[in-house]
Amino acid sequence: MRSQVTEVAKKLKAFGEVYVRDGVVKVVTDEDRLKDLILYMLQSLNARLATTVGVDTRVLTHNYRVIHIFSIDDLKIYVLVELKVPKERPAVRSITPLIPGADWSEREVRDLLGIEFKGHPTKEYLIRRPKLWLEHAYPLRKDYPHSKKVLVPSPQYDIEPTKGFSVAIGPYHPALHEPEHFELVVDGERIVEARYCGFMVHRGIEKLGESRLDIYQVPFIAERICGICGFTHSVAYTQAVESALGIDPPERAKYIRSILLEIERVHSHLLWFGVLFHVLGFDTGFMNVWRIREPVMELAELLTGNRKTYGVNKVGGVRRDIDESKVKKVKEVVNRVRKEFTELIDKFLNLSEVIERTKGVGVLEVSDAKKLCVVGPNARASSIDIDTRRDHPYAAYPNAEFKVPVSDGCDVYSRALVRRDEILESLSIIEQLVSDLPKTPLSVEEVPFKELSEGVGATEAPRGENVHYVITGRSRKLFRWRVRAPSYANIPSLLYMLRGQHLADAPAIIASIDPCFSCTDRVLVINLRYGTKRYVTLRKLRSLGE
Amino acid sequence: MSSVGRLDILKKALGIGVVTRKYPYVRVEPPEGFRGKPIIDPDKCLGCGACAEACPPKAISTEDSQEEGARYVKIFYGRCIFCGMCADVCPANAIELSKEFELASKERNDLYLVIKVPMVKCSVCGKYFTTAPLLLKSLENVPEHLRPIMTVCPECKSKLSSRFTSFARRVGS
Repeated sequence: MRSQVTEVAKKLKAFGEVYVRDGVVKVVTDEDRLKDLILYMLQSLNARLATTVGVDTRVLTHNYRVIHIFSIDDLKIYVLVELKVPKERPAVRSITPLIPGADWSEREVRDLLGIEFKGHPTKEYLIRRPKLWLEHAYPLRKDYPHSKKVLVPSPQYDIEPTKGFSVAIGPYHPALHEPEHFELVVDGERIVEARYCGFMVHRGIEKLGESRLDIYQVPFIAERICGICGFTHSVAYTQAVESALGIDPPERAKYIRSILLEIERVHSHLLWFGVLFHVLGFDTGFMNVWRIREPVMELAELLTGNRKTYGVNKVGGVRRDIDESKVKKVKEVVNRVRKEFTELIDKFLNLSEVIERTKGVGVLEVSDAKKLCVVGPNARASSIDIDTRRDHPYAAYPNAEFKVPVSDGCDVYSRALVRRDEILESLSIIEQLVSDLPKTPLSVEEVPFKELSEGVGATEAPRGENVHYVITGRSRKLFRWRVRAPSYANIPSLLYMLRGQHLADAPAIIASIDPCFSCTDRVLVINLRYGTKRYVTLRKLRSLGE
Repeated sequence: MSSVGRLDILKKALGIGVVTRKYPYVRVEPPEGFRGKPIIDPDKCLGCGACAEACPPKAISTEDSQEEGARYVKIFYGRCIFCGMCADVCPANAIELSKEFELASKERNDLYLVIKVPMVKCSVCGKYFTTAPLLLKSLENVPEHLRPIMTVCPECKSKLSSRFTSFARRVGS
């Protein structure tokens, strides 16, 4: 493997300066060679774009930097493609024409740092900007103070007249719990076109992490990025910082992290099954799955002191031990959950009403999935065999045996099957790790600090690959912190899934990727032909689905 | 499959019965090690402010009052994220995360916990400069002949030491 990496690094030298450091290869290239480099990586290395990072390095080197992070799963490495962008009129060549999956991340860099992407197909803002926000205010630039207040935007429905009805779902989601907005253009019952407007709750977490907090405090805010899979964010962050500072946390800490990550995956997937059954109108399934989930939440509370925000992670290790009595309890709960889950889940998934509502619904073709760089169970259900736990081993996963479930159905049903198998794998991982806890300290004695060092941390969240990128700054602070949550890669694929489907299936399709955004019980239906607006409650929309 | 599967599900559901608890009429006891409302023990608190320094959301603050000769250590539960960093860094183990989790209140003031720690006057300028428990704790590590100057505030100490140095120089020359 190592020799392969050096070989790749040698080949990449044709495109610019190359730096290699454990698991990360960095290529500093320029605009002229960018296209050839991207094409080379896509064609011969089977690279997958993780995200794009913009960094305001004017205080250091008098320019901006744009870093495209690629994952090469076959070689277990991340490749950072760095471009220097001039300070005056910052602009750089876009890679979206080559990789459609880069669309969002490039637009985000443009909106928040003011770096133009030449040749980018979309001019629209990705991040919703309040009207009173200055045209040239770029909050992620270093000269923009973090405490500057920005007025909250009011959602705008700027739907152009199209053929047929336009059904707007949002700004509150009918099935999950965060604001987002879908515009579905329907012809009769069929969805013709779908559009998405999100980023209404941009919380500026990256800016906060770069300005007010120090590296020890960031894990807590990282954990609050997501309300369901927060711990995986805090692990990804600590791994990124540990890689930047050159720390190797003790084995026991790695085991505890892995155990908690798997507990989180089990509860998240069980929650997802509940949500799926609920939007299908199958509330018996919903209630039963959530009943099975409850002991998992209580187990997390026992191990960490809280049901959801575990708060046990710190740079260099963990804060809480799992002692013998807790190990016993973990085994007990794992056995109980496995027994109850296997007893019921196949019965639920074999019900004809569940099969008919999910099989062949929300199909995401393999080629589309590849193009959009989707991750997690969403990708695995479209027969893309990727899993960060196996492809970029971290924490204690190299010491556990597990299979990566893959399905080729490409529909909502196969997403359910993949998640069912993953729950069982996770339970087995927890069992293996908990009975084999190494006896080492919980964290490193002292955390050395290195200025301006960069690191990439990735974890497999329940929803897919989760990438954090950090550059350390001065006096134990971060210079840049970039978070790519899995839903960021998965939501664009929804628009492909929704096309041509029944309107009544929309809630199930949207829920099927387990998107991390939310809802209150309200949906807006706009009838463009007559120019009238109608608010419908969630119950009504769901009753369409039931 | 279906009819048999459906019957099985029904049988199972009937066998399980009710699993929800009648909270808040039936109390729920959180497990050992639960991270609930942090509470400061006023008898143990040194007033050093380490917790305020470590607190990620800045829910803990300290404030010195020269009129009253006291330092106030304040926790505002409205900002608290219950991470327990304060309890981790406290040198006197004065902070404990209790099992209390029902903190909702109509009064904002109910969400404050304020500890008053007495302060010590500087024996030269008369300004309050440190807390009494902190001074007592640090006295243990100071040799006896140096103890009297521990009641001098840092500013006066630097003034005094520069005066002594210049005096010594004059005498020496």
